Amino acid sequence: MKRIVVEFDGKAFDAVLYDEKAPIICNNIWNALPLEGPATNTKWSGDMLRLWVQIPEPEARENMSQLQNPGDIIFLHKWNGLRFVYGQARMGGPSGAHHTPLVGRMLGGIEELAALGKRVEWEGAATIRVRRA
Amino acid sequence: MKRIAVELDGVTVTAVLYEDKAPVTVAKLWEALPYEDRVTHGKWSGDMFHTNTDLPLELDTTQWTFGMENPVGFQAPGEIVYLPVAKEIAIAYGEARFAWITGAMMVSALGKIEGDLTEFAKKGERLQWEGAKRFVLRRL
Repeated sequence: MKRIVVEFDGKAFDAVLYDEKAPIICNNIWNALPLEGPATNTKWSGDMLRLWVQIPEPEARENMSQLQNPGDIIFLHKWNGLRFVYGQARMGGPSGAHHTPLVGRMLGGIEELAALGKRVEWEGAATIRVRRA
Repeated sequence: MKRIAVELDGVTVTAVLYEDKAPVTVAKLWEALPYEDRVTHGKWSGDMFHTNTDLPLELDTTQWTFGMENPVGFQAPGEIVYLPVAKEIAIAYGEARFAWITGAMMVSALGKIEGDLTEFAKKGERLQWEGAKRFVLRRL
């Protein structure tokens, strides 16, 4: 598994990309690093931060997941970007839940991510940076 | 016909309350006005924001199907809804459907914003990017 670092609020947390299960998408993410952009909460999916960056979008639908857990990092075709799950969440939209590629996982910092999610709700978008470890 | 002013971050629109469809709840809401709060963007419901300070309306919810008056499962842009169990107001500004962790929920439809929603909807959308903003409901 490729190791990455997720940074926000002046803190850095280790994470991994599931390049064995989602090799094409994870390779695109890896090649796009470092990535930095604003993060907002999602509108349909619960406790999940959306990082507004652009990743070259592959055709492949790899390691598709239907349910998400805190710490999961997911990619969403068509809408692009990365999403970081920090609590009760399920990727969805007006038509219901979406299958989505599970591309990685935070190895720590989930409580800090949840605090960031709450702060973003009240104070507005915050910056998240993702880089290679 | 009861009408109210709905102010979000400096943009004010007017709304008609559904006195015919939800007479008891609308009357209680009318008594409770003015109401001021800081609203935040919803995380489950699409283009919708909600209040955060309890707006308790004294209602006998046992008398109605779904425990509320005028229950609806879908909301049109500009629709004003109330969830008795959470004592909160929510307003749809675009494509929205009130939901929580367990999925879509019935809510009590209490009124609808009149006229052009464009500027109000822009303010609603910005909540996701800028965080909580001042929100006021007043009688007209």
